[in-house]
Amino acid sequence: MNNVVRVKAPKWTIIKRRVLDIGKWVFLFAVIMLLYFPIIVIIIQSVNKNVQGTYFSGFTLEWYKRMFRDEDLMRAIQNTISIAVLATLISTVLGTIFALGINSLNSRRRRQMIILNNVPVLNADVVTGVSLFFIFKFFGVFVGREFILGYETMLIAHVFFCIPYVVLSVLPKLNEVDKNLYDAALDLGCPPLGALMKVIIPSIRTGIFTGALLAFTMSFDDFVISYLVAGEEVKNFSMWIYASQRAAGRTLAWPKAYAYNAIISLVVLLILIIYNIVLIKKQKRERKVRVNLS
Amino acid sequence: MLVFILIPIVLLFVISFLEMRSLNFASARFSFAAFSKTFNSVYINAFVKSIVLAAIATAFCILIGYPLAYIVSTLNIANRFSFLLILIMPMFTNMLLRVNTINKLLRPESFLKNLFGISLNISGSETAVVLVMVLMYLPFMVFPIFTVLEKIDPSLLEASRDLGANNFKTFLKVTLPLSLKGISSGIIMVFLPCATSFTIPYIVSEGKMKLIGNIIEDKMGLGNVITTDYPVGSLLSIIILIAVMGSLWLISKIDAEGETLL
Amino acid sequence: MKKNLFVIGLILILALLGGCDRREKLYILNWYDYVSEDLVKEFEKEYGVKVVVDPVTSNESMYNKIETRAGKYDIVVPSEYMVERMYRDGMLLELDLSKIPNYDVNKVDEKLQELRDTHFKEQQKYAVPYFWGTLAIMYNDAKPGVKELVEEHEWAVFFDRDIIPAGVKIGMYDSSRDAIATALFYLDRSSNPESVDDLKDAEDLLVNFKYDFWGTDNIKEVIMTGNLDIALVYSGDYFDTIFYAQETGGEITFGMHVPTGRNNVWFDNLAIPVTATKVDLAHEFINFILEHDNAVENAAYVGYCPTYQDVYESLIEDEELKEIVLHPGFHPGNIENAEVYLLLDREIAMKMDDILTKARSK
Repeated sequence: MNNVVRVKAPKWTIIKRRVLDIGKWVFLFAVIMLLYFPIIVIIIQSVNKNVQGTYFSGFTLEWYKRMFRDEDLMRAIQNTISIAVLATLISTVLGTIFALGINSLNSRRRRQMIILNNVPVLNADVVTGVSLFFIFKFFGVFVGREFILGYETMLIAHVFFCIPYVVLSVLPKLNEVDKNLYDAALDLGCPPLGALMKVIIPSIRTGIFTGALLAFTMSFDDFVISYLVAGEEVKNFSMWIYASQRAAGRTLAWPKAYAYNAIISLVVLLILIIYNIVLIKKQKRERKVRVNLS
Repeated sequence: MLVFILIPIVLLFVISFLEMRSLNFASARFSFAAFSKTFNSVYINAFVKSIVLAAIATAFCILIGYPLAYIVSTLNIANRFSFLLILIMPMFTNMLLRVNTINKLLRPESFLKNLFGISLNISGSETAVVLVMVLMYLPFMVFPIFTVLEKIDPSLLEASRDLGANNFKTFLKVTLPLSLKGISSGIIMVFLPCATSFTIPYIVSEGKMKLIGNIIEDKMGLGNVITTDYPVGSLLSIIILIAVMGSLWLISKIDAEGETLL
Repeated sequence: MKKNLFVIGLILILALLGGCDRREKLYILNWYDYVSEDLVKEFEKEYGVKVVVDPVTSNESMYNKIETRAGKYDIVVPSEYMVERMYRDGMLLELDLSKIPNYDVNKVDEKLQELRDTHFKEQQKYAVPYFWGTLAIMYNDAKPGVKELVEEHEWAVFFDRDIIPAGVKIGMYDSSRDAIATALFYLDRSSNPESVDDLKDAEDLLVNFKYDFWGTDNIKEVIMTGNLDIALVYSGDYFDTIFYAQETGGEITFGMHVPTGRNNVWFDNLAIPVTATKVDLAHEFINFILEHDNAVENAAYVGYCPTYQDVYESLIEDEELKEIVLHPGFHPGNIENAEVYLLLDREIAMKMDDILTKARSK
């Protein structure tokens, strides 16, 4: 400490540093605004009396009312949510198992499996969708059920493209886990499954959570793949919007869609805020503990 | 899993060598017709355009995304994860809806014009398409770069500074090379979806542009077309698949675990 | 841990709860806004069933879905040339006209029946007419000079850059048959080309004219908001947009012109595809829709011209609708040189698609 020579920095360096500091926040703010302005517009339009949305003719909650009354839309929303939830649960479990499996392979096999795993992630939606369509169709012919497309095929398709995301989130975390922990647990008398559940899983917890979050997001917003494997009856929200986007709007699809998405955005925002409040409270508590201990 | 990935590839491959009416396998005959039809100037144009636009969009994503990831990685610890959540939140609103909303704002007669007097007249242009691509895929560039930046050992930076390098030099010679993995993952995560996208080009270009994603969509019977051509569609899909596998192989050379693909 | 399981369980239950609907279901493959929702609900109540409408934007999508057996559709609503194609490819079931007493071939509009007898004799046992219309030019009336431009030059506004003043935006319909037919009409030729060579001139026109917009059902709203000045549409699109404007309190700043010299006349039909599992119910539905009062209500909603004489007459008598129905563009019977699309060779059809792709990937 005593050897540090304090030199007064020249004025322009201080200014430069200040500018950079402020600039950092301005940049951050600008980018976030860029990403969020569509959401803000959506929320505004959801209460806009003017259907075409070119000018604001008055405040109204009519669209929210109509949204709830639109049976078709409600069913589409329900399908979207139920498939997203189920697909997330199933793909998280399966994905974690796959990740554990891949983790135990030797280096060459491992690289091959990772490449195969990543194909659905990076492949064009259309290609994945058409491939799945073919598989389901052929399976249908094989099993003797011609009209096989429906809720189940959509769910399977979603699980299929969600699993790679889970694997991608869990695998890196698995790498960080100390290999000896598992052996230690076994040595201490734990059965293999128990060792797994009590030692490995908790340490990759954040990876699993991130994977689940990613899976949910991907499933929630999917369009092409759902469109291709849905069949005559099932619709998810993206399909509903795509369908309505091409229509004149007598069904007043746009305002209702805005209402629905406004609700989603506000719910997610709420969750974010709650999460942050909980986090800050936890930090305050930890700081208190540390102060008390010192 | 393997079944799901391999069987369709085989199927697509087989269909490229057939000539048939729609999906009527009974009328299928072996032929190279798909190949000669695919390698014509119209499709090649579309391919090139897709790649060029996607490349520009990716470049902008790096230009904006890297500084963003860097700034966030220098923030204090508690806020970081929630910041990522902030980035991912827009993705919960339906992409089609967001694209359409932005597109409506880019037209001359728009909400912006009647409220603020700003009349943007770029809807339908290539600029608009690139703009929307960047807006939609920026988070995918930020995440991998951020992951990699976070893992950089701060003592390395300290060491560099102790050895006399100023901040800029440290960044150039230490941080940047170490974050290359993240940039490459980000490029793959942004470039491929942009190049094969069909909703963004169709909506934002006001129907005027057809990129390779649109063409495949048409051939597979999804667009506004009268005829379907599954062989050509399959062949184009295989070409894209080869491109994807190729880039994956490239990544595996730089980053064996694929751990930065997030 | 227990709490998490409970939450997950709750979500699962809530997610799965909504799915149960024990009623019999009728699946219809239709166009957008092409059947009155109120009528559908009435049918559902009367017969105790659920009607599921799956909308598409093109005849070809309909064909695809039936051919690939993508769903067990009971009713399909193809245009005349697509009825011919589906009939030829064995994709339609013969109608049991005894189950559709409301269909009376003598009540079909004279001119339409003439067309049906000339070109579609055999198909009459497989499809009954639904609505009909023509191609039309919709324009933004708020911009000065546009109306006169369209009325004077008709089809030329889509192909002759010289007559278009700066700042006027032209849109084309994203359907290869209709876009090319318009080009052929402009060239004073038939919209049913005999060979691929006949398409060369049309190709040059479409590829070289830089349109400001390509779209389908979304074109009408863009004209309504003033972001497009002239576009190719179907005749009923105009009336549909008027109803839309009335319902949403928008201003009617747009107009329509139907070239009566050379134009295409099309008619959509109700048919039962081979994928149908509820054939009797499908017949009931068709019969229900064709019943006079229902047909009038339906026509009042949809905005296209009904294909039955008595229904049309009822519309003229209606005070509110009279003005709209008497618009010269409403009834396709006014066209002098009316051409119906005939089924084309696959080679020609593929070339048509290629032309449209080429026009947009330069």
